[in-house]
Amino acid sequence: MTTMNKSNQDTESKKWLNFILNLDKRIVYVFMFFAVCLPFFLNPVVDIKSTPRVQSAFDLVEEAAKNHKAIMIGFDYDPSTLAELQPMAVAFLRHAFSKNVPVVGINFLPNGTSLAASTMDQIAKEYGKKNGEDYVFMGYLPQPTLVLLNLGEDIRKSYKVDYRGIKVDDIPLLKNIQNYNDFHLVICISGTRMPSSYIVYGVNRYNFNYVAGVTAVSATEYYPFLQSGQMKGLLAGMKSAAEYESMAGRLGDGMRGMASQTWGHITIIIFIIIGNILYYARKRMDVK
Amino acid sequence: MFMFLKKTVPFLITLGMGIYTFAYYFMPHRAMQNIWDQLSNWAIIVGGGSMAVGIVSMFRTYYKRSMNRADPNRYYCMITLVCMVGMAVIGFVTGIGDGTLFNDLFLNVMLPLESTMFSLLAFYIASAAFRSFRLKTFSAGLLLFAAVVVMLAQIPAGENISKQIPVIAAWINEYPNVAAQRAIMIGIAIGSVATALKIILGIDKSVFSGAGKV
Repeated sequence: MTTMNKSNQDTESKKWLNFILNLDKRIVYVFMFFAVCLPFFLNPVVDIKSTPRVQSAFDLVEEAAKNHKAIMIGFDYDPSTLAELQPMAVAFLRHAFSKNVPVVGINFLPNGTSLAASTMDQIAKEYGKKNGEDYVFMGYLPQPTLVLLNLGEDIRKSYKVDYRGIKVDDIPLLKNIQNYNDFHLVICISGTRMPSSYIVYGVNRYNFNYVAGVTAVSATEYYPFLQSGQMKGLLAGMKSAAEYESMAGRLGDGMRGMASQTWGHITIIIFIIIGNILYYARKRMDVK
Repeated sequence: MFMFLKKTVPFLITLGMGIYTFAYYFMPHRAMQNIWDQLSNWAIIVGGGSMAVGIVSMFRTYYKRSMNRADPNRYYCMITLVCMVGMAVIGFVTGIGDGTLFNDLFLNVMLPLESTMFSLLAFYIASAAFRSFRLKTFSAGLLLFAAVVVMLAQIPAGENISKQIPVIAAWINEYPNVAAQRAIMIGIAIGSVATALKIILGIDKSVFSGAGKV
């Protein structure tokens, strides 16, 4: 009788285990939804320790301010990677404008052109910066490899007019800018393989200070360039944007998104742990 | 004559351009520079032209599919065509600058749609992690450990759990990851050089007259 009871209990437990292991994915989605959405109503995480690769990117913008030199930003991202990369772009722009560093924007991704233009205009407006004098967006051009090589010789070889159709020679900011040598720092913000192109066709040949801002998932590709010194800094994912905002002392979308990212990651880790515990529990029952 | 135009001429152009581009990278002479300037302008024009070819090709494909009553996705194809033509017409009529209808549609429709598509990944990853990320073998264990540590290092809470988490994550990224990435990169680079040489020297002529035809 006792053996029979035990067998019934085992069957019942196994049934439950199978039920949880084959849980409807929509239930998992609901957990994830709340883990990501609810933290937006919490206070943002503001105390974030910076990593050396983000610190060096920050220091290069500070140096640009001290040397009164411009920086160039490649806005090579589109709406798909906006959540991770836009906070970086905004953090760089806010830092540069707050230190009166002129910014030249370029773009090689047609889906991101309007986005880049509106971001630059919006942040410039916050700091009362004038288009053409304190910043300029050159717009989209195809064939990034050729443009990157041309930028090493003369910006005018590739760009005849800016995004608004104003002739390059009529833009006051570009009067003293010819090539990479006139920029203290070149930044590429992208979720594509564009940051590698900047190294192959730009840094290797013209040797300038270069920093990349990439999605966390693609960051592993760029560590070899960071180690070799071809990249002076690397911002990987929203956490790096939050670190940068923390250093600049200005709350932004990076810090606001940290709570959501924290709970999202923790939820995934909990799911991994629960999944493994249940898997081994069922395996043990099968052996019995 | 047909074969000469279809195969030999493209091959000669590729050979010439390949040799010139290689030489230009190492010879910053004025004459080389002048040719480069001219060629780079052509390349940008060709790049723009290729987009036009892409639009025509896409239009033809989706038009055929939307006319095919047997295609279960024909209504999606119609929506694609309407959106493509609609955006193009609006862009031509209103312009694409700030405050135009084109820009507003891009920022308020296209942008949230594309962001939403990408954000769905978080849900799929959570579901996949629960169902398939199993500690079955030693290598799976290494992967699991690395994944958890790197994920924790990407959030401020990771440091609060243990000061060692960011240190271990940095070590994983800077040593085993760099070693593997370098190996992959060198392999890709050698493969790319071999493929480029095969095309430039005409050993692989399939690119000149349709795939698979030598």
